[in-house]
Parts: sequence; C-alpha cells; structure tokens
Amino acid sequence: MADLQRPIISRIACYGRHLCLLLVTALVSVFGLYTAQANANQLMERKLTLGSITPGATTTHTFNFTYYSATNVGSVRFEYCTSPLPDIPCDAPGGLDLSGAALTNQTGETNFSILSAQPNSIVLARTAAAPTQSASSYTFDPVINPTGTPDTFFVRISTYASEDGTGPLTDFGAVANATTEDVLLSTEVPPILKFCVGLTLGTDCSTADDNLIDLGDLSTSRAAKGSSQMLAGTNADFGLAIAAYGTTMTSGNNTITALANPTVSAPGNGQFGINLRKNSDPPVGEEPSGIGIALPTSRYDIPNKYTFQSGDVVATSPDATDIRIFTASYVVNVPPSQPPGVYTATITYICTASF
Amino acid sequence: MKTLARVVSLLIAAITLLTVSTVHAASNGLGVTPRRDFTIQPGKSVTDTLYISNLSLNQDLQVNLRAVDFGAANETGTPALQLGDNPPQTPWSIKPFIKLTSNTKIAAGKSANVPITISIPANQGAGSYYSAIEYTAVNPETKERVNIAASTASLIFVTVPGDAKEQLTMKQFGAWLSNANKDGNGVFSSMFMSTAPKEFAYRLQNTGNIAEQPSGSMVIKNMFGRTVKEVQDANPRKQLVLIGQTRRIQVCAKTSVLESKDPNGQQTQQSVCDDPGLLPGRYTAQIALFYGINGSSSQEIAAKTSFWYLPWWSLVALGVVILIIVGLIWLIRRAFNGRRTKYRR
Repeated sequence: MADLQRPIISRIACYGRHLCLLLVTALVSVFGLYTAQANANQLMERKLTLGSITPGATTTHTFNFTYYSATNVGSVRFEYCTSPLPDIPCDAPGGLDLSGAALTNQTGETNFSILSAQPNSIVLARTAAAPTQSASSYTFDPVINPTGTPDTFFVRISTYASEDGTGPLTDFGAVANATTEDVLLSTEVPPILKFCVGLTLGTDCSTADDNLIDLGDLSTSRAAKGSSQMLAGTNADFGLAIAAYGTTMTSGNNTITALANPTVSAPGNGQFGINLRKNSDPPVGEEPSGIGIALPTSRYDIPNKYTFQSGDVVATSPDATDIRIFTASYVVNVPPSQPPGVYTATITYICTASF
Repeated sequence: MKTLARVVSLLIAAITLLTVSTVHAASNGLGVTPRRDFTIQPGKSVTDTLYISNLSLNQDLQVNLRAVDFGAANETGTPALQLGDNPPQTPWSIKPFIKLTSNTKIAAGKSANVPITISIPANQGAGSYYSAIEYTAVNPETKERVNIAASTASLIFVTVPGDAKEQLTMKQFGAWLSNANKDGNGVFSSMFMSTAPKEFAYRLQNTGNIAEQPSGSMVIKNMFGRTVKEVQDANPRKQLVLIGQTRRIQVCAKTSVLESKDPNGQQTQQSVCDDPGLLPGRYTAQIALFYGINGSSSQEIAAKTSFWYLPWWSLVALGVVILIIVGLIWLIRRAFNGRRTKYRR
C-alpha cells in the first residue's frame, strides 16, 4: 500500500516543482516587462511654450529639451495626452489638432522632418545618428490648441533609435501646459458662489433681509440666547469656507469675555460664544440642513459648547456643494460684576471660495 | 368723531412703523464669481467684469467692494483674509494694481456686472500676484443687539509671465484616511484593515514666487507590478499651492459624481471617493506631478508609496487556510506513521 502511495506523492511533488518553475518564469516575465519599460532615460530641461494660451487658438507649439542618451536617435514622437504617465492609455485633449502642423524651426539636434502628423501626435524622423547637440528645440505651426477652460494637457516625448517612432524607447519625458481664457465672455458664467444670512431662511436666499438678533435682557441666573441662519452653496470644484469676523459684545469700554475654546454655558460667568449645532443647554439652534456637503468645523460642531474667535472658519466644504443651511446659536452669560449698559456686537460672516 | 380720529391716527402710525421697518431692512444675500485667473504681461492691463447677484427677492442690495489681501489659513485651500484696519501689504498683493468702484446698489432679484481693471506695471517681475475682492452687504446697525452681515469674496489670481522662480517640494505622499466626521482632516496610513484606501494625499511646499497648480496622474500597482487603478487627474479640483504655503491635496482612488439640483434648478456636481475594489495584498502607488507656467521649464515631481490592504475577513480566511494545511499535514503524517508502525509489526 505504501509502495503504491509513494509514486503518487513523488508525482505530486514533481508537478509542484513544475508549477513553481512556471510561476517563477511568469513572475520574472512580468517584472522583466516592467523593468524594460522603466529602462528609458529621462529627457532633461523639458519645456513647451505655446504662442497663445487661448483655448482653440491656432498658434505655435515650441518644445525644448536636452537629449540624455548618447546612443543613435532616428525618430522623436510627441504625443498629446490628458495624462503624463506611459502606464495610462493616452486620451487626446479635446479640440486639439496637430494634423496640419509643419516643423517650422529646429535647433540643436537637427535634420528632422515630419514622418506623420495625427490630431494628437507628431513623429519626427531622420537618418539615425548619435546626438551631438544635446539641447534642442522644435517648433510646430499651425497647431490648434485644446478647447477646455482651463485645460491642462501633457505631451509625452519619446526618442527612438528606429527611424519610424517604433521599437524600444531611448529617452522619455513629459511636459505640461494649460490653456486659459483671460476674460469672461458672457454675463453670467458658472461657477458661482451663493451666500446669505438672516434670522430665518427658507430653502433659498429670497427672504434674506433680517440682520438683528435680539438676545433680550442679560442675566446672571440664565443664559441669553439667540440664533441666525446662513445659507451657502457653490458649483465651483474647489469648495468654500465660511469665516466669522467681529467682536464680542461691548458697551463702551466694557466687554463680555469671548470663549476662546468650546465651553459649556455657565450662567453667572462672563461668556460669549456661538456654535452651528442644535443645543439643549440652553435650547437653541438647529442641525445643519440641505442637500449640500458643507459641514461646521470641529470647534463649532459640538452641541452645548460655544466659542468665538474673530477670523475663525466656522464651516467648510472641500468640494462643490449644493445649498446648505447653518443655524448659528449665540449664547451670552454675565457675572454679577458685569457693569450695566447696552451691549452690542457685530459679526460679519464671510463666505469665500477655496483655492 | 373722536373714535374716527383715533382710528385714523392708529392707521397712520401703523403705516409709518411699517414704512420705517421696510426702509431699514436690506438684502443680505449675494451670488458672486468665486475665483478669476488672469495672465497679464508687464505693462499691460485687463478689463473684465465681476458678477454680483442680489439673491433677495424683497429687498435691494447695497454692497461695498474693496480689495483685500489673503494668504493660506492652513494646509487646505481656505483663504485667510487680512481684514484688519491697516494690515501690511503682502509681497504678492495686487491691491495697488486694481481699479474698482467702491459700492453699488442692485435691485431685488437682479444682478450686475461691475467693471474691474487690473494694470500691471512695466517693471513688475514675473510671478503670481493675488488678492480678493470683498463684497459686503450694507445693513442698518442698532446699538442694542447682535448685528450680523453677509460678505463674500472673489479670489483674483494674476500670473505675470516671464522668468520666475518655480519650486515645489514633495513633503509627503501616501494613502490617506479621512476623519469619520468628514471635517477635511485625517492621517496618512500604510495599513488598511476595514476598507481599501479611498483617498491618497500629498503635501507640497512652495518656495518659489508662483502660486502653482500642479497637475499629473497616479497609478496603483499590485505586488506583481500590474497596474490595478489609474487616476488620470491627480489634482481634479485644480487646487493651488500658494507662495510660501505647504499644501495638502487629496485625490480619490476612484471617484463617483453625484448630481443634485437646488430648489431654483441650479445643478451641482459633487465628487465622492468610492471603494477602489482592491483585493487584499500589498500595493504601490506612484504619482507624477508637473508644474510650470507657459514659457518656463516643466518641472516634474515623482513620488512612490506602498500600503497594505488586509481586511479582517482576509486574515480570518488566511488563518482558516493555514489551519486546513496544518491539519492535512498532520493527518498525512499520522497516516504514514500508522502504516509504518503496522509494517514494523
């Protein structure tokens, strides 16, 4: 019985060895492929200068770079893509057209002519020769710029020993540039930033016209409270931030201490602070609402804890956000020693785009 | 007759009070262009308009305009406006180059395009220059309550082309774990045990005199070197690194776009980071970023990071597999040992 089993086991072991060998070969092939791709040297001092940066303009594109390798160069490929990485398939930038371009100027390593010109690529070719002038420039004209606003695009530059832009790469490098519209052409162009404040707002800013919050009489035994609302939204990709600027409550030279850190309301102590949450002590405020993604910042996001520091960012959105309504709750406490008087404060909420 | 006189007096008083309150109310709702970018040659000027909309349908908007300087509040893109009485002018300020009206009035529900002219002196060096235009809604103030006011701003960036110093340094690159409360903060991490990393982040320090907008791509490769995820745009929100700032930029491994409409029909697209659907294992992320204004050399920053994605279920599964293998080996050895014993007998 044991004699019967031994050959089976040794056969399994043999298959296992073959399987391992196959696996190792496969891994070596995969790594080998990637190593081969990574073997190209970097072109140095790369630069792309556009004659005009206006989207869709017919202009010149001038490339400057320095050859790194001293081996023969027979062709150079310029490929315009939306990504610089050769690992990512090349997508052509919208509106770009190189198909009518001519090589109008070349310096440094010369004797090139256009072998082929496609809407997003040009191949220059010559009789293969080792570079003697490493710093070179090539100007193409006319080129139709991409049409995005702003539209960053990349050009992958590859050099080859072959004279047709194929085969193994010798040097590789990418350059980036962007088209930008200088002056807006229409009266209302997205993106837009919307912001309003008021005592109570509906689902939009159409009734944003109250600006006075009545806190009633200040007392040493109970907190004075009040609230206002603000609405913010933007379709700009870079998001928004709302900051609160102003002073604590003052009456002549007398002030009520602003809470430097989030603190619970304590009647009988000098306190002035705000937050953007629904509170139970004292009962004031509402939770943020609306389908946007903007949120209160951490210092102003703690129920029943209040703080105020002029210039603090009270809410942010890292991205475009639909409208979001925040309720600011104001809490004021005074100590028995607080001098009597009419106390007032002015708080300006500033909503800006992020960058 | 006396009663009639009283009624008329009360009516007049009521109308007067109503009129007074109407006069005192003012719009606190603004819609503005959030950001404008210009490229202006030294000695040239550009005239454009700034869009301001009065979002109140009931009250006119009296708005004051002024140029203010700003810098970066932190490592995110939040601007810190310099609103003091006489703040020192920043080295990158365009306040002296801006010509702008100081106030305007916009009827309820209407909008206006306010002209702005930016003139760059002929001897101005190449670089980035920026300030903000602040719009403040003017409200009546009382001395008895808390007064609130709405204000917004347009960030204005001007690039003066030429031979500028451009210098970004990669300080950190890695997989990013956002805080659960979505406050925009988080930590770099190289081990993920619940979900695969949805976000990556990099920190760039700008020591040049150009506010740079890096652009590039990122790929994620598995332990065999195969690309499993491509991120075409590694700076999809076109975020800037201001002069002197260290900026953190986050990018989704996989992005989904949510579309929504507000009650007025304005459409907004919100990007959210999705699970990239990685299998358990070790991964490497490579990023290549480019920056440089037109006419300057393209600068490239490349960085690489690695991380493990080992969810609990995969560790449990691995444990079970190891147990099964150990069990099988033990059973086989036991069977062989048993037979040897039999033969010996």
